[in-house]
Amino acid sequence: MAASSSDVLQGTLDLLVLKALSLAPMHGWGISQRIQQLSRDALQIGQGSLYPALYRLEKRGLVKSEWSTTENNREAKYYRLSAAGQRALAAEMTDWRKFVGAVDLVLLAE
Amino acid sequence: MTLLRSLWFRLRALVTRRRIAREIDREMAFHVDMETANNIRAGLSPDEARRLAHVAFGGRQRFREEARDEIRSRALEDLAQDVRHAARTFRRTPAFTATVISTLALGIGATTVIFSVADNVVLRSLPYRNADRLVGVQVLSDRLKNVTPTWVPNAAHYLAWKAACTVCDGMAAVRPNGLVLSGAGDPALLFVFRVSDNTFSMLGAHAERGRLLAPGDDRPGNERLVVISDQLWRERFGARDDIVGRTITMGDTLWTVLGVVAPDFRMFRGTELGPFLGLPKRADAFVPLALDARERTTPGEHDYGVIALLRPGKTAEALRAQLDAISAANAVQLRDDPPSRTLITPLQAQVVGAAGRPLLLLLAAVGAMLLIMCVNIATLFLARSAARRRESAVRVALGAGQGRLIRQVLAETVTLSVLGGLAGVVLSRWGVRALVALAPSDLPRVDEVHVDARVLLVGVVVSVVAGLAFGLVPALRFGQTAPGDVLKESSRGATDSRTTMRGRSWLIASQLGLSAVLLVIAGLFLKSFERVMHADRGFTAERVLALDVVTSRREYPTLAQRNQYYAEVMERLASLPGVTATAVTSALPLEGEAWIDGVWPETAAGGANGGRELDANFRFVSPNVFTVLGVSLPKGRTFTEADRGRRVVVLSENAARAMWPHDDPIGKRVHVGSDSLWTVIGVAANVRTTGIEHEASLTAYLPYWERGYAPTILVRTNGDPGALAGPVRTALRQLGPSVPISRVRTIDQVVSTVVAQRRFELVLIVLFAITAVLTASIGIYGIISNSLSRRANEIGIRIALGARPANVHAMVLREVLVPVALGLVAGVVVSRMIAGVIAGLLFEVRPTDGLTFASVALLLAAVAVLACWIPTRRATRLDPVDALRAG
Repeated sequence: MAASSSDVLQGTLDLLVLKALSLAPMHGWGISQRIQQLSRDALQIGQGSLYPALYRLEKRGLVKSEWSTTENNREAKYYRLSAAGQRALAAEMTDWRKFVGAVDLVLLAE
Repeated sequence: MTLLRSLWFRLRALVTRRRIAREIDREMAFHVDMETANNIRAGLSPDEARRLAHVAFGGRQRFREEARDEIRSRALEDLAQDVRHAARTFRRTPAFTATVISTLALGIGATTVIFSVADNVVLRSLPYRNADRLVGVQVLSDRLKNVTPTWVPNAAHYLAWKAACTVCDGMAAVRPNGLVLSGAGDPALLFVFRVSDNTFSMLGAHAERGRLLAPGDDRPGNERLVVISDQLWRERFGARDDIVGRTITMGDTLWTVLGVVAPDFRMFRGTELGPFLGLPKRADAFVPLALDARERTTPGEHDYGVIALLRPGKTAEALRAQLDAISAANAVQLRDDPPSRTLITPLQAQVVGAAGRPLLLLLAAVGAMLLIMCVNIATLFLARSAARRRESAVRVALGAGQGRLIRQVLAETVTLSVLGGLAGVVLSRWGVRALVALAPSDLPRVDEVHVDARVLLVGVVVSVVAGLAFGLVPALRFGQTAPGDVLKESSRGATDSRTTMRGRSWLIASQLGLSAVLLVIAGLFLKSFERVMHADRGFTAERVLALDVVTSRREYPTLAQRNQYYAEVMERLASLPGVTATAVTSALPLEGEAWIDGVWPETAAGGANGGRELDANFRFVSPNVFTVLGVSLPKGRTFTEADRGRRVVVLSENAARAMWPHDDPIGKRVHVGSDSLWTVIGVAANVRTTGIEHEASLTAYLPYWERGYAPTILVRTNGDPGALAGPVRTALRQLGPSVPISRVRTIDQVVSTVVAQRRFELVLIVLFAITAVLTASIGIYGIISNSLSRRANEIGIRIALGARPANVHAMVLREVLVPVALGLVAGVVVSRMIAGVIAGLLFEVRPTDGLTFASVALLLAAVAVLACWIPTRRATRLDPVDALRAG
């Protein structure tokens, strides 16, 4: 475990999940691995907390799920981004950038 | 769209709850397996790999719940779960459950019963078409205003109004009559209503057979038509289908039956259409009103109950203005000077009349009782929630939300209250029957009382509201559990916290306060009832049987024959064993006014009352009626046989005083009705005529032989008068086979009929008050004993340190002193206000009656002390060592 891991900011988990799924459909564990890899182990999401987020996104219609088999021939639930999910991801990414930019402006102010 | 999808999602989730739970488990298991495999690849031992995978995943239970919460319909799902949980809890604590349910059943049952009576009597509209537009028409009686404020109209006014009224869609009149039915079994006196031919159509009545009287039937030569009641049709004519078109004999005349009125038709009765009209309680037959020439023109015959149907959009006030204008315009023909003024009352209000207020009071009383019960149940729940604090703490620690805990407790209380409500509704079915049996028969519409959907709805609503009301406090407390504190609290109980004590005080105070209100009102009613029963009625008879007979004009056409009949009856009945005296009279005390006519002194022109005539009740009596009824004669004497042929009169004291305030009335002469002069030979004590609670009317007694009319036969006995009813009937039937006996009752029954309404109210309110006090004392007992059992430890320490039982008692009493005092003060203040409002329902008792208030306060204080003392005594008897160990 990376000692320098930081908790995922409240509310950004949904965004990360959407981003991870935008690359390819994936099961829950895969999503957590992907986020960890992409952040170079900087972001350590509580693996369990992924599931409430997934069900929440599914209820909002942003992701869809179905059971299928993995390459190791195990049953797993795969999630993929819906069209609405694509749009939501784009919108939330814009929001996020604005937010980060704003915070930077404050922090870098002389 | 989103909404629909989310709804669909929820519904599916609800249906497939188990499948989804399994799916989540599988998904999470897969995740942990993958993580474990990953860890093994990284070089960890399988055990360690799995352990770390679990750690990385975090609280699986929590995420599972959260995930499920995300998708399912929370409310429904939780409710079902809560109810299941509640049911399990109840099975574990049957005594608690039984107490709560039976208390609630009692409270809700009683509320439902009283509501159903109030609803049927006061709230529900009358069972007539256009009931909201029907109004009663009465005349303000300026001339008689010391006897009665209103008066029913006479025929002339009714006809004039009916002809010219444009504000109403119709006006109908009824006049009661009694006719003897013969030729169908024993002769019987029928209660016959003469009704205008539009009465049935205006009220929207239906015929069961044939047809009803209809507009056009009331014309000369067409009078001998009759519509009979369903009851008469069944009892006297065997429900024969060929009744329509047959003739029946009533009052020695033949009448053609037009039809049978539907059994649910409700005719007016009692004084529903106005005072003194005295409609019978039953309507056996209806005949056309067919006013004759004399009736049309006699202004003094205020004998018609009149109702009108307002035109849509027209007000009672508009009708009043129009009728008054018609009266004024026709004052000469109507011989009406000054012109009459009318009083228009919505029929509903007129029929319900004075019965409404006591019923609403009872409704409030039963509501207060229910409230006490709810408070009591709340204390039970509070005690239990205190006992379950650890449970709630553990659940909070495991992640249960506050809202969830509150909902769970609410589910328990609402489940209980719905169960109690159901039981209460079942109880109310019997309760209504019992209440109707107990209710005075002249309570308007009491025979219409039944439990129906509307009443059941009230029962259900009350139970749910009650459940929420008494569940909320314990639920909030249950939800507020701070797990750390509770779990840290050693199993050795501490003393109660400040909030616990404050909550307890509120409960004690509110129970005592509500009980005080009910007790004070019950006390005032009780005292009123006692005053009524001991009021001076003017007669003292106890063992007297009274029977009403009807001597028909055909069998006994002459005065002499009728007098002969009465004389024979008295002589014959006096010879029966057990009979000590007999008499006849035209009216009994307390059974209302009858035959009102004017009297004035011979010297009126220059006399004391300035020539004004007085209205007095006339009674035609046999000489010994005063002894039989126990009416004293302070002055003069009663009639004797020697008075036959002489014009003599006995006056009541108030009548004599009204005419000669200072002089001796004996020997004075008075004008009676006409201008004939009658000599006063005696003065009789005032006898209450219209009820024990009303001042006696002015009364004049004339010998029965003057009119040959004294249809009430009195028999004084030395044993139970009721037992003589059989022999007396037999004797009467032998004397006059064609004379029907219409009513048999004892004087005691007359009295008890008069006080029936008061007794009814009293019984109920005392019942509620007793229940309330019992409930409250049990409640206080429960609160104190519960608190003491949790403080056994503290008390053990006190005793171990040398406190004596008296000290502990004093401590407990000190703690309840403030709530008890507050509750009593609040109760007294509130009941003082309520007593002021209901002052009109009391009799010779002031709403501030000090004795009642003081005794209630003392009684409740004693109850409170006792309810504290018993559990305290038990607590002090515990061995301190045991108490400390057990704590």
